[in-house]
Amino acid sequence: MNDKRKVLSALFAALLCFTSGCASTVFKNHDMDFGALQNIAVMPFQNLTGEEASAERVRDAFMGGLLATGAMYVIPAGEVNRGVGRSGMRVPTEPTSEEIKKFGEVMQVEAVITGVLREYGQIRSGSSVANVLSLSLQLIEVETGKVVWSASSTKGGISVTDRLFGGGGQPMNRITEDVVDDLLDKLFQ
Amino acid sequence: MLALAGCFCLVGCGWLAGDKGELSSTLEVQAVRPEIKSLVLLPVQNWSGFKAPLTQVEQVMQGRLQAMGFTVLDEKRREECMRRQRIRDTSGVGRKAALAFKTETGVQAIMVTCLETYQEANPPKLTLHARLVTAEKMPRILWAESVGLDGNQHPGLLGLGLIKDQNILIDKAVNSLALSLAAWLDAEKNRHQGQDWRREEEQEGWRLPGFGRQSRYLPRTSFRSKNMEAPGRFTVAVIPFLNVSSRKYAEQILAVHLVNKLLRYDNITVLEPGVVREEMLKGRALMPAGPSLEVADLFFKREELGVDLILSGEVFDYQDVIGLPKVDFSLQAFDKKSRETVWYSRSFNTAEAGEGFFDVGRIYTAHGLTVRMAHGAMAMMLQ
Repeated sequence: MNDKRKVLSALFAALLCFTSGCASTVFKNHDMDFGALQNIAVMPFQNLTGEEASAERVRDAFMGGLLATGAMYVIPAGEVNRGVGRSGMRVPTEPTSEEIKKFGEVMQVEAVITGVLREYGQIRSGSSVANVLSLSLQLIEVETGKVVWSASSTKGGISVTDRLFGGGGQPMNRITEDVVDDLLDKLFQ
Repeated sequence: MLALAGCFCLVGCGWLAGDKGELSSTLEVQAVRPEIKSLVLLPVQNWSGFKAPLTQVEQVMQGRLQAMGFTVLDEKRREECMRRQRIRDTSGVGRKAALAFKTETGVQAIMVTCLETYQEANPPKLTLHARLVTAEKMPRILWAESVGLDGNQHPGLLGLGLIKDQNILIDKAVNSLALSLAAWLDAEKNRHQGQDWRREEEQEGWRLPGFGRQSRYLPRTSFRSKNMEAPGRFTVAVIPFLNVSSRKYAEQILAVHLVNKLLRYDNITVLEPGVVREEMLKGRALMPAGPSLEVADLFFKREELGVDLILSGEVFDYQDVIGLPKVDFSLQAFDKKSRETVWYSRSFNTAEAGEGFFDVGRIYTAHGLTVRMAHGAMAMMLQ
């Protein structure tokens, strides 16, 4: 009897570890009709890394990826910039709900995406070096100014193979593609 | 001994692939009788970001053009006209400048030359762009070509083919351009016979299925709107890119590469970059965050330009002199009818990606990469 309890406890602990390891980084408002989104604007990403222009690189890749899905029309970056000026948005990387509503009216978009680039560049561990990219995104509905979807993705880094056999990991452009694909999967799942 | 000889042969076979189309083996250019007899050679525009022998390049170009039978306007008269018209930028020909050259000097065409890359030694590198534009009220591009050379490009047996003198590289580059110009003039003369002036690989690779081993130069991500119409006759304006890279002038270099590629399509008329610049200055157009409809409208609203499609984008990397060649850019096309982005693509490549056995297939210059990537993007966009 005692053994049976021990086994059950161990199984429960293993299940707890497994489920906590699978914790989703995605938030999705299930009341939102994502299919109704026709036009969308991707705001400039906030750059928390030391790499200048990296946020612009990742933003362009994300905009291209989103456009390539064909699910919605993505307003060109130049137009977004014009809309920011016309709506009087002060910090386009962190817009307020009121600013988003005004921006939406000016640009005729149903939603905006804001993002934070958390990591972009090389990481080092011992003698191993590899590229890593970490990005989090939020989809904000213009009408209500509420976040309806949020997700983050981190790719790259030093793998076991890198540690054992050396090698510098994947090129940054490939990692950017992986992150964009991962986030798009999370958006459309 | 045989194995050793085989190895030497392989080492010397770098020219079998890679930048094959960028270096002409024959330096002789036959004199032809073109319809255009007189032209003005504009001073070479320096996009290299370094000090370069621009006068020398200009002199070699002038000598070659004269050898081909052209009457080249003398420097004094050219400078006088440029001073009167206040022409400072020589990377393109605006409408005002083209007309002034025609009326004041009587030339029929204008040759624009831009130096993309220049490195004097270790190894010497040189990339040159040239464009022939008509001297008339609305300047038209007649011919455009570019050539990118690296002293290490064709090492040959025991490195005997290495080029250490930049003067040789200048001569080779100018001769390569002259050969292309001669081919174009010849094709123009025999147009009724369907003669094609484009290089063989350009003709072969024009349709996507024939792209074959070049597929790695195709865009990594692409989007085509359903509003993008099937290719008919249309006019394209390539506006300067947003330059996010650390390479100065990368925005203009990319634009000229695309102009060169688009010019090779029979159904496309490309607006001369000088006219694009003139219009943007006139409209005080700024693009602090990339291409926008506001800038596109500048061209769409001018009926006399007849622009149907605006092509632009962003350059993220253009590494040519220091380190391995690396190019990363995105393209965006705006359509006049739908006023929407009808095409988007993102292309990136590094020179190391295609290196094969004994450097066979290696690309030595950023120019070489860009030519292929621009070719791939345009072939995909216009398929």
